[in-house]
Amino acid sequence: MIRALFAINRAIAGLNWVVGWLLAALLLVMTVFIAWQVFARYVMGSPLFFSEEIARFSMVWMTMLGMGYAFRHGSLISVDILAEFGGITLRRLLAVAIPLIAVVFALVLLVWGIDITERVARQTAPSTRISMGWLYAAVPAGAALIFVNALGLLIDSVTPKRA
Amino acid sequence: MVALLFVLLAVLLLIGLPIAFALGLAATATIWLGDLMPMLIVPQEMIRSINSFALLAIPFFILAGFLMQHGGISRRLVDFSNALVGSMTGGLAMVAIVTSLFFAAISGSGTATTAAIGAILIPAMIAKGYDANFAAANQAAAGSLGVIIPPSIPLILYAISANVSVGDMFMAGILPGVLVAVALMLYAHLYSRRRMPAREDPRSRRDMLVAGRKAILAILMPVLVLGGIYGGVFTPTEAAVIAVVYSFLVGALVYREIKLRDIPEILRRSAVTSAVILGIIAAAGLYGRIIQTLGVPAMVSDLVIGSIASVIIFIVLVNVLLLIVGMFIEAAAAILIFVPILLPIALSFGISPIHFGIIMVVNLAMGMFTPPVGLNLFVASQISGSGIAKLSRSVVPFAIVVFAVVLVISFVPFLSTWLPSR
Repeated sequence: MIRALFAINRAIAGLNWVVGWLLAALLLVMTVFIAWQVFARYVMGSPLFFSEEIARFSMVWMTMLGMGYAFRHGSLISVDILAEFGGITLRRLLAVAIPLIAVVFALVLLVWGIDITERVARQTAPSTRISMGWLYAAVPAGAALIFVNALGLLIDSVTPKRA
Repeated sequence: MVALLFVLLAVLLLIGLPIAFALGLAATATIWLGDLMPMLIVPQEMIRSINSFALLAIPFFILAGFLMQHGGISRRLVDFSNALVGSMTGGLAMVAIVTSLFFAAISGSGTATTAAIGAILIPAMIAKGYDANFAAANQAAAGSLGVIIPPSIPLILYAISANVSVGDMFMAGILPGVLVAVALMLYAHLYSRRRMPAREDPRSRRDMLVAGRKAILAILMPVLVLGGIYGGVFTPTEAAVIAVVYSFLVGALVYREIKLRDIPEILRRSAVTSAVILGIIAAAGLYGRIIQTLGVPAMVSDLVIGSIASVIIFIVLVNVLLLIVGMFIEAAAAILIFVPILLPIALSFGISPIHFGIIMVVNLAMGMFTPPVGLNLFVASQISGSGIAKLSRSVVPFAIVVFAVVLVISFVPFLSTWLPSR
């Protein structure tokens, strides 16, 4: 049983590894396109029409995926008074309760995120002409990652730490 | 419904749910239970809040900060500050504050400032005989300059939500930031006179010139960024991307300390740091929308304007409120939630929106180094190895000093409005 749980957590770690580099790539895309836009406008004298939209959409994806990623690594900002000053029992309880509550939020984002993505799929973004579904799909994708990583945190809280 | 919205948020925050999730979930539950609007508003508002060109400045300033840190710029700034104030009593503590002041003019975040400068100066201070808790508290407080001195993420967010110019807010932050730095240095000096018998080595004018020449490329950057924005040449987002390119070129080609193979890791860490803040902004956007829908701003302003007659009492109350809010909520979320509620009242009392923004940001900057949610405090305690509980006590005098400055800034609008009006 424990071995199966470790296997699941290894798979989750692999997924997060991929997402981590995807986040770096998205930031690189944003930087390159906006730097190019500045160069085109001030040096070449001919403004770009598509760079801003690509950078904004990349930032939305970076945010939604980054939230799930940071959740797994404990780097989302939170108020830690109870965990800091409470006893060991309370800390264990919170380690289970927090991922479970996060799952509720993830499910809300997943269900209505898919709903809105389907509704806007026929609209196109004004300058790149890509489907607006690409923008809104960041919500269910991020929600799925939060869900998976909540599972990972729950597995952490019930399995002994590996030496 | 209003009570549900606020109580649920308080409870979720208190049990330690990440702030972004707590804001989103409290808003979602209120929409669901109050049947306020279709649930599609949840993903829609979150996306709308972050799908903005102006907000692109945030990840770019964060990336520029990381590049500066890896490119050897923070170390050169330390050397320069050391040449300036290092020889006075309490010199090293003051060096930490002056360096943070310079670094803040490059970085948009208080945590980045604490991490970059603290990593060098906290160990150096401990080695010189300073108390570890004092060294960490000093750096945590100095790190708050990161959000007062431009460029600053909270100043950008305030400008967006109050609909004032980012350039004006940036100019407005300069004098109050310098004032905070001077006050912190004064305290560090007085503390060291009592506790630190060791003298520091004297510096010659020649040392200053040499250190200044080595740090000149780092000191020039804020001039380029702020001058470009304020002169109307670049938008803040464009200036931020120029800061990224500049810090990359300086770090990789001039100082030659950034290696090509370091870049992916720098990008990844910057992306995650940005996502953490932008995630809070997305959720705070949704939460703010529900506050508007429930008519909270009108309720609060009716209450306040009906019962408070004088500007002075209003400003004192705002300071107390923001001090408490800043202790529990991250600055970005606090700005997006409280600007729509408080700004209309401030305007009706005749307070300028620029001055009010500085009052808010300096108060919230204090919250960054006061427990329980003081990010600078966590970063500093990780570096110094002192526990949060002890560190929380050492930070109290710094908090009192900054609060005194906050009162001065609150009642002397000139400090905030003079530079932007020029």
